[in-house]
Amino acid sequence: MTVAPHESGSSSFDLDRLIHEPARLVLVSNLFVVDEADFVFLSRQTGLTAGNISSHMARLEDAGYVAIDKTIVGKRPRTTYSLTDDGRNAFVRYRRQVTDLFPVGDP
Amino acid sequence: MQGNLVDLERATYRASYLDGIIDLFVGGSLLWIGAIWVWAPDLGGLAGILPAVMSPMLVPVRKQIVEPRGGFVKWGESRRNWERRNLNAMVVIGIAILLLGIGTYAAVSAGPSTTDFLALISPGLIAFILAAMSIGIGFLIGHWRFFAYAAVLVVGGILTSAADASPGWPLLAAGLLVAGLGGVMLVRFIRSNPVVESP
Repeated sequence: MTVAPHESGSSSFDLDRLIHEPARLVLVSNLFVVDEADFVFLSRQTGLTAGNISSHMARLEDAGYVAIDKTIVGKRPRTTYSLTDDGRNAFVRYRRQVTDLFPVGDP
Repeated sequence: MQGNLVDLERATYRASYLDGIIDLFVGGSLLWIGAIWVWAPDLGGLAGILPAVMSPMLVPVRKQIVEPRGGFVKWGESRRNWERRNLNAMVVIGIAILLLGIGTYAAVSAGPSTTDFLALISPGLIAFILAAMSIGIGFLIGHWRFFAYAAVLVVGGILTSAADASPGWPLLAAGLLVAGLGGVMLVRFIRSNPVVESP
C-alpha cells in the first residue's frame, strides 16, 4: 500500500504487508512485548487456531522476522517463537508508519 | 514500547496469573498459620513450615499445571528487571515489617511499661503484617484481588484486636476466602484451558 508523502518526511508509506495482515499483526504485536512465547501461549492470547498460527509463523520465519525453536519439554513438544532483530525493526517501522498515517488527535 | 503495547504487555502479564495457584498457596498458608495459632499455640514454631516448604514448589507446580494449558512465555528484559526489583523490595519490606512485629511483640511482652496502643493492636498484629505482604503480592502480579484479601485481613485484625481474641481467627477467615477463591479459579482455569500440544 503506497500513499502520499507525509509531514514526517517519509517519502512513502509502503506498509509491510507481511505484518499488516490482521492475524500476523496480532501475533507480531504479542511477540513484540515479550522475549519469546510458545505456541500454546500465543494460541490462548490471540484465539487463533493451530493451523493459523503455524502458517502465519512459517511466513514470518521465511521473511526472517521470526525465529522458531522446537524442543521437547517433559516428553511434550514445545514450539517457541521469538521476533528476530529484523522482525522487531520491521514492526517498529510499521508502527511508525501507521502512527504517521493516523496521528493521534486527528478527527 | 509505548501506548497500547504497554497495555498489551501488562494485560498479557496479568493474564498469566489467573490460574489461582498463588491464591491457593497464600490461602493455604493463612489457614495453616491461623489453625496453629488458634488450636495449637504451643506449636507456634511450626507456623512457618508450610509456607517455607511450599514456596520453592510454587514454580514447578505452575510449570506442571499452567504451562501445558496457558503456555510458556519469557518476559522482556524490562519486565524481568521490574519483577526482580519488586521481589527484592518485597523481601526488604517483609523483613522490616517482621522486625517491627517482633519488636512490638517484645515490647508488649515486656509488661507494664508498654503503651496501651501496642497492647491493643497486638492480637491483630500478625493479620496486619500478612495484609502488608498481600498488598505486596497484589502489586507484584498486578491483581487487585490481593488488595481485597489484605482488606479482609486488616478488618479481621481490627476485630481481633477489639475482641482481644486469638490472632489466628482473622487468618483462618481470610485463608478460607483466599483458598476458596483460588480453588474456584484453578478449576475454572483447568476446565476452560485443556492441555494443548504444540504443532
